[in-house]
Amino acid sequence: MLEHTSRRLWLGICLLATCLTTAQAQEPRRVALLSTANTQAYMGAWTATFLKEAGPQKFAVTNMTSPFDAALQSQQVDDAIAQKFDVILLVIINQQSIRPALVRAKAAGVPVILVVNPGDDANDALYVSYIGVDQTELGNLAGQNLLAGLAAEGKSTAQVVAVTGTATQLNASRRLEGFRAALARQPQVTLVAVQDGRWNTALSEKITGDLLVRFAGRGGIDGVFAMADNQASGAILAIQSAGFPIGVAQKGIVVVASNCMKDGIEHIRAGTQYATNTQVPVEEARVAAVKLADFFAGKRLAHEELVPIHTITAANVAEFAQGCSY
Amino acid sequence: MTGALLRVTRAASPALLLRGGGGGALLIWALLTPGFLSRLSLLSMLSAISFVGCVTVGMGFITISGNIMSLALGATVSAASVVFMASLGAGLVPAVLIALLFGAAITAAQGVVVGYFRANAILVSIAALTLILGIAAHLTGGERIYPGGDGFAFFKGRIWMLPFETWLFAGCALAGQAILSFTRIGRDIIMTGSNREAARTVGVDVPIAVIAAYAIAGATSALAGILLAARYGSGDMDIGGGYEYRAIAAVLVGGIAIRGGAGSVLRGCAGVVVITVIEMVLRLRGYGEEWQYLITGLVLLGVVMAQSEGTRR
Amino acid sequence: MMALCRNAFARDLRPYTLLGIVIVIVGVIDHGTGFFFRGATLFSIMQIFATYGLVSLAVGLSLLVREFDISVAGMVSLAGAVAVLAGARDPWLGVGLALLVGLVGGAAQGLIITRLGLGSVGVTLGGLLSFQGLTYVLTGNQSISFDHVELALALNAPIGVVLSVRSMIVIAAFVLAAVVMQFSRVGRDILATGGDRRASTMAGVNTGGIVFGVFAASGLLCALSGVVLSYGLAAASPAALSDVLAPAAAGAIIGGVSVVGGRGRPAGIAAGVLVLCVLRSGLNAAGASADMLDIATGLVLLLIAVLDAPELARRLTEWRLHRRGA
Repeated sequence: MLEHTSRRLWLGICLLATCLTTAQAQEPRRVALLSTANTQAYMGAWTATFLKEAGPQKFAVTNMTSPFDAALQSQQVDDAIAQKFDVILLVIINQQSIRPALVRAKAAGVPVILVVNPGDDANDALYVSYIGVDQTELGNLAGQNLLAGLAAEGKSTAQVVAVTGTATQLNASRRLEGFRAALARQPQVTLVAVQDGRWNTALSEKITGDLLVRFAGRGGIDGVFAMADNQASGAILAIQSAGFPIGVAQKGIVVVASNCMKDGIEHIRAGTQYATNTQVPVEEARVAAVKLADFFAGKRLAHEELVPIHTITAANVAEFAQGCSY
Repeated sequence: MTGALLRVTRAASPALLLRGGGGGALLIWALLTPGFLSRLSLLSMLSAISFVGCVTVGMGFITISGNIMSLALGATVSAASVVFMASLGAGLVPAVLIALLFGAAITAAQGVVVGYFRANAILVSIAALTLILGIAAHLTGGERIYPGGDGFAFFKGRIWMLPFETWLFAGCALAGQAILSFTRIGRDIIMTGSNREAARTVGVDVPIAVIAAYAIAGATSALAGILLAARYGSGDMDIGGGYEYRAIAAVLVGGIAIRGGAGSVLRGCAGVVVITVIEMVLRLRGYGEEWQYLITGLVLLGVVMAQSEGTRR
Repeated sequence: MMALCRNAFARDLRPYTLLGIVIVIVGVIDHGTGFFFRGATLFSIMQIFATYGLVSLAVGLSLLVREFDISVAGMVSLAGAVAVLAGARDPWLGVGLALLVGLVGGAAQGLIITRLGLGSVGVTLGGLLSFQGLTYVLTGNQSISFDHVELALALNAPIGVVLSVRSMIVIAAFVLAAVVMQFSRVGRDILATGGDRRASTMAGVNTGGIVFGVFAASGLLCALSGVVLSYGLAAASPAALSDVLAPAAAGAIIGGVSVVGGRGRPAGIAAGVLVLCVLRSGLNAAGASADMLDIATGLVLLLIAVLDAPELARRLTEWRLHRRGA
């Protein structure tokens, strides 16, 4: 409540400032941040950081959230256009259903900058820039890490499975694409099954358990790509309850994920998870705030302003433990 | 005598035949699935059954009390997981009690409105669902809640070959059945569900019976939330999503009459087993999630239709 | 004065009274910014109305005959998917097929309910899961884009500041429903069936046919709603494009539909949905977050559920007597 009040107060002050200093250049730019539910850990941490950074960078942010309701988000874009915001910062919920709204924003001359979730190719001409990590790269690195883990066990031939995030979302499909591309370099490692784990820990555990059974008589599973660290956590539980060896030390099943959370850091420390990647909300939000200030200062943003990705393994886990614990 | 027997067989046969035949076919289909009988898949199935099972036991009470279902139980599972994790700092036993009480209280509140004023149960549950999600989002700000204390590692262990949660679920189901069959409040719940007015005339305190059914449902849902949170080491508002639909599906597949007043907790548990077996067989045979949704829906529709005999109004 | 107050809150006038109150409250919250009283905000309200309106009408119709159709959300998704898949070449073909699916799906549920004498909640729950499952299978668990973006833009383009083709379709359906309910025998029979089914049957009303017809109509309305939503967003998705059940049910009962059957009018339902739309738009314009909206909707829904409860009056009298006695 306090946050909302202060945000409204801030907006009020800004409006007042606008009235007082009409013709002057310092008038704060109005930013509409249209995000998914802040009930989601990643989005919550991102939004909190971005709002904190917005003050010093001198722009006023109005945050509208939509709990994964695509129709509502489309409406919010239209509302933001009508309220003549200077820029719309958008976390796309559904790539397909947002397109008409993006077309309207472009027609109205309101620039759209994407954060957190990239835009699909068909939306390419409709947004100014995407500020965030390269989702394909997250998957690709996970693939490379999985191959490295298998190599460390001395396995050159292997069967691996992927337990993905919600299959209807672009970030999940991009990561899977990148993962497949990485595996393609090692033809003896085959991806034998892909299942939709919807970013959900419990479902990922169940799926992994059933996959272990399904392939038990058919050569077994040597590696698991669970898209997020919480899903890896579920997969590891399934492998452990099944009594299979896990991790490179035991020459067991190699588990990798593609973005880090607290559970992943713990599993990497324990040796049960081989690797993950950084996708740190605090860092991404900071970069977004800086780039947005650049944009307001008249600099041209690249179509993709990518935040660098680091791979996390047992060797460097200490370095990233803090950023990943959100 | 023969006539009466004949009449009984005739009345029961279509539904019974359908259920027996369906169950038999499912069993054969499952046994023909490679890997179904492996230790691993049986264990994984037991875990899955336990989580949904706890919610199903509670949902069964609501159904039997004549109030069909509460769409808020899934959100209650999630909220209880968060409460449990957040209060672990006070110690394991207090945290478990706080979470159970929390679940029982927020669900009993629905029971108060339904029991005292006879408000529409489904609408009240939709209101409760919206409120729980809104308030939780407001309070947690979306954070996943990590344990504020330790000592729940044994939740992940096994006792005599079976997962810990399976024992708890079995205890929960047996206790539920015992309450329903052998206690006064259990009989009151059944009578209220079967005929509210008649129950009142014979001296049943109808509102109390309804509130008790809801409180039990809240407590068992909270138990599922505690088990899930302990297993995955964190609580969040996503963890119980969809459990309400799976639980009511299990209640109906198990053959608890949707109009209330009849059925048993154990029937609901049978429903959970059927649904979980179907899901597992589909997954073992390599079908995607989409087919699981469709088949569960069709099975539910079929079972509800088979209920028509004897429940004709 | 008391009487006036009581009349204003009597069931038939209640939705309009509530609508007035909500408009005043939002206006007061908003007085500083002035977003609320602009044409753009009215347009936005009508767009949200277009998303929920028909589904609310469908739920309301089923409540009128003392049943509850909870399959509505599944049918909206299914019809949207059918329309987008079948309408790739000829959008009209998609519309036709989707409406047919809605009619057949609704009629099938109606048939099962009336012929087998089953409660509607169980049957429509099976319907909900089956429709959703069918949507998942049809779309292959992917979000699908509809290539006629120009159609989406045309559907949503403002007409006379406040309306769009999309909202006009919904308004037309409401007008049609209101005319049928007010002036035809079917309308009277629906109310009679909901009021007292047994007495109506005795009086010669074909109550089975009425219930069957209501479910068929509900399916058709949801299908129309799904088509308009999916075409308007140029997309279909198995993960619902919008979460419709709670707002639809809330709209109907705020709109004065009695949950014990027999009372309520389409115009009231429209006003009930508008109450929610004004809340949503108003709180959005004031910068409140989605969770505040959830809380507000939940409270309103709970309040109305209690006010409508058949034993409320009796309990209150009992308690008053009890207190006087003590």
